[in-house]
Amino acid sequence: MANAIEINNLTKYYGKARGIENVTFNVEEGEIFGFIGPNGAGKSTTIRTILALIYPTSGEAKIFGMDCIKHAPEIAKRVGYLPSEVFYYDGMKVKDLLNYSASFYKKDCKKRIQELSELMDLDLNKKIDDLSYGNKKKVGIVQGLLHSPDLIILDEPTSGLDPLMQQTFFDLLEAENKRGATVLMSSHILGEVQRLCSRVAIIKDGTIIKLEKISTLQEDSYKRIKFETNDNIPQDYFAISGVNDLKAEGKTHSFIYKGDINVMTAKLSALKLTNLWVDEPDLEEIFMHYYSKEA
Amino acid sequence: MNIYKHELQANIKTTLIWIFSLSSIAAVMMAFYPMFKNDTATFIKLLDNIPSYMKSMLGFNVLSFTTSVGYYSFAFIYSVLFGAIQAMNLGIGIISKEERERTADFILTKPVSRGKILTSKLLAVLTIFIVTNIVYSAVSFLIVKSMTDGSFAARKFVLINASLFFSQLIFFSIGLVVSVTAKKIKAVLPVSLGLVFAFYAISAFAVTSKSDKLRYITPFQYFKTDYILMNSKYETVFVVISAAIVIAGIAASYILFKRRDIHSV
Repeated sequence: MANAIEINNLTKYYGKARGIENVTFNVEEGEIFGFIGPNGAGKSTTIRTILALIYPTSGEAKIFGMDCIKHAPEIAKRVGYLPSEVFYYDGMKVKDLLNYSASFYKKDCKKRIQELSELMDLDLNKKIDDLSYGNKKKVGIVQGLLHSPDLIILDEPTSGLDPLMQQTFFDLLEAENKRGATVLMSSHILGEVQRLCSRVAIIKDGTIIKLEKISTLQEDSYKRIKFETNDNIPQDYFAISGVNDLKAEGKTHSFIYKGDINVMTAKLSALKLTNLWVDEPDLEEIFMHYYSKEA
Repeated sequence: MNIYKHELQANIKTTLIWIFSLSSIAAVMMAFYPMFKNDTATFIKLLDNIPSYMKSMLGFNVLSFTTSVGYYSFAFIYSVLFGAIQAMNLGIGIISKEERERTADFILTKPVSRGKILTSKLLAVLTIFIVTNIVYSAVSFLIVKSMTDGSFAARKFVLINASLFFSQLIFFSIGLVVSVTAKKIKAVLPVSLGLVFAFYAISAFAVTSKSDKLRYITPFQYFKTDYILMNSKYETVFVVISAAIVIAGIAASYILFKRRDIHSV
């Protein structure tokens, strides 16, 4: 499978302040790739660098085999971008803005504009200034998709959309993906990444700390274990490798475990339990674990 | 072409207001001409009582009030001042507004190079200046001509008016460089007015000071109307300096804008 995006040791410093360091990952053609991390971790810096909005200090990124900086205009023909905050020119009507956007691409986008705005329930004749935040976001979505791009890059796409619209938007992204478009989306909301993406890169403090398939990340024998007991457990009782995020509140104890399940059951069977829960942790918890472990 | 058209549309209202203001200034200033003409002697006497720095601040250093074009050359100083503000606003605003209004993400992720974006914007600004100057020249010509009895110094008039256009190019280039050098410009007007009035103050100071050197650092002194009235031409050295500033300013802007990091909100 060819790569839509190849990022190699991409580093960006703002003066002396760290933006990102040695970010390396690939996004394969046709996949929906998630890029998650807390605010300020470097998601936007990475995305803005591959879009040539900012220039890397070192390293390089390629989109469709072309250098992101040198061939930015060429690449832009095939890329649709939705920034995290959408702001548009004062006094323009929605359709004027969309037509202006379409005028940059050498193809007829009229039909697609119509389709997309109907789907997103967007009034083309309103002035953008008069729109609510959510509706402005919709303008951004239509603007990013109207030229049927091969690569869709979204920076925190769902903030400001109501849940129903979010659903429509996700369906739309999945349809675009089926059509053949590759999607790179950044988010700090793990649920949406979990729902849409096949692979995910986790970024923290400017460095990629994990690159994994969503399925592996979820399965990877991570268990959230919670139990109740009347026994007093020695503090170091669970001091074995693989146990993280250990919490005790009264009788209830919980932690995330990754490792040989038999070791754990042996440990647990030695206790006198009154209740026991073993769950798949959601991505949020795994993520919190990566996040807190490094902190 | 689409960016050029977009810029013109975005600027049409302000441009019309500027054209109206510039023309009005010339009209209002010229409205006092008959008074000066009829009583030149008294007026010159009156002027002697005003301190010289005050005179230069107000532009009263020109004492050719007896002819219409001569008087116009005095009135013209205010047109240049306004024209400079218009040009400086455009210079500082044309690029920085995209970042301030956060539309830079939109335009810079389109399939068009930064060089082309800047070129389109520059052409739009040039168009704005040309239209402004054509209308202003026509209006001021009609006014001054109608007040002229006897011969009309056409060449001097054209040279004076053309200097508005050149001055605008200079102020625009300076503004453009400032905007691509500055990390962030929060509002155009304070920066623009600050710069223009600083240059204007230096200009007034240059007139009163004995040293000629100050003239070089303020564009308000590059096309001196009293020189034009006397010689019917521009001072070559300042024409060269003007051209150098415009060329260097625009070249620097291309280089800096192409390298500029566009930060998110």
